[in-house]
Amino acid sequence: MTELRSRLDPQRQTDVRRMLVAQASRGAAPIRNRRIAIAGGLTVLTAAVGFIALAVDPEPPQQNYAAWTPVPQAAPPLTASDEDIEGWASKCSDLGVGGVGVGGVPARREAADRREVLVDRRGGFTFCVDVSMGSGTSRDPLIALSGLKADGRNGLNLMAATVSDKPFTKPQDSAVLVLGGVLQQPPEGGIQAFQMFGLSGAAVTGVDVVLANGLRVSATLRNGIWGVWWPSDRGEFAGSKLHVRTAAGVTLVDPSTVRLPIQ
Amino acid sequence: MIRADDGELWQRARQGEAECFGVLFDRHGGAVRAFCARRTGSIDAADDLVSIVFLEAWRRRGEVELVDGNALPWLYGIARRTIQHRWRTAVRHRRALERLAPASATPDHAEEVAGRLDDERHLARLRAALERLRPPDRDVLLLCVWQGLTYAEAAVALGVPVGTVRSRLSRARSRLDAETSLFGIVDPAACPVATPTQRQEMS
Repeated sequence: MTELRSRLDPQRQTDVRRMLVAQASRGAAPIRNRRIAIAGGLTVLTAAVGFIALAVDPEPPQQNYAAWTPVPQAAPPLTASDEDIEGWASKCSDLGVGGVGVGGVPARREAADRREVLVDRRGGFTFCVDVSMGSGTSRDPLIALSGLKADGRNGLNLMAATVSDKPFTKPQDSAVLVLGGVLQQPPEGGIQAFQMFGLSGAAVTGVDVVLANGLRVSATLRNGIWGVWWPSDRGEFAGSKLHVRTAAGVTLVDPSTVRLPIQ
Repeated sequence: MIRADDGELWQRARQGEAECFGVLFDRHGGAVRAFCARRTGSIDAADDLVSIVFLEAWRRRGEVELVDGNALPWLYGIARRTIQHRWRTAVRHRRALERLAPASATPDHAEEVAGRLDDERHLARLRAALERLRPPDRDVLLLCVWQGLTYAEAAVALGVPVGTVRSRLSRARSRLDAETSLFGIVDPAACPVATPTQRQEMS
């Protein structure tokens, strides 16, 4: 069942084979483990802690954000059909960031044990945040990835990654920590998605971003991870505040003061 | 060396016998190319992708996952991810790919040209049918039906549980019933449960 009528051009076959054998003969270098490979793949991260945001879709970026909503859709309940639940998960599993898939269901058990995946849906867009909660060392870094995808498109239109090999303190109680995102102003005339994601303490019941123009955007929050995004034409990141909700009330936080520090 | 199973070849390649990696390419290059052609709908793209897939496989050699000594499911998994992110992956392997001479625009004899035209027509029909499916269902159908993987092998290729493969295939089959009968495409119910005893080898 694998046959096509045509074959790879024999000369091409020979050339490819020779190139592969040459590549393998240079392969004496030690194989990096998966987690180190992620960090190594982000070659710009020469600092101990780094943030990177990349447009990774070779197609023109999605610019029609009309369907976006400031409040995320509710996740399907466990009683939803398999197709509904799988639809959410597959959007995330299609996202590949920094050399590792942002999987709703990580393929390997040991990876699954370490990863938390957050899925945020707004009007046909899926925003995924994948946090591998390393201990903050060079061998076991914290890796946080995010990606945004529109329905009907195969590629991401923007992703962000944070890798940290320095110890950090997980937020406690009502505290939050901003791990990263896409917070730069887009080029003049363009529209892009601002993204922000992070961790929250156990007492936090909700996180909103209130933009300088007053627009309130609710983050999706689950298992101590929160994520939020908005199109840049709805408001700038500059001047925005985090409204952190707990049972005791709401606390206003300047996101720049709770960002994972770059050392 | 030709008779060694994939696991032995991988092990020997990793231990420095680079020729073993060449044998794996001989063994599975055609199937990977066919998968890439069906997934992208383009023979030309597949011709380029097959080298990228094997380079990526070598880069990920520490993660190799074999099913019954067969590397093909794992290679399909690499191919699937490579196709999704082909530009990024190609950039990663740019230096190696620069060693390749540009592919000739057309093969130089009539039979091969006719074969490529037939393949292009076949792929165009297939693509039209597959576009009706969700990407996860499409991958399962390609792997199980056209590439001949078992459920377990497809699960490795896709990184999902076997049950998910079954449910996706079932859904794909029900949605493609009309098209398959129209095109005379292999019955999607034919996904083998056991490891196929025969696999085509190019060498």
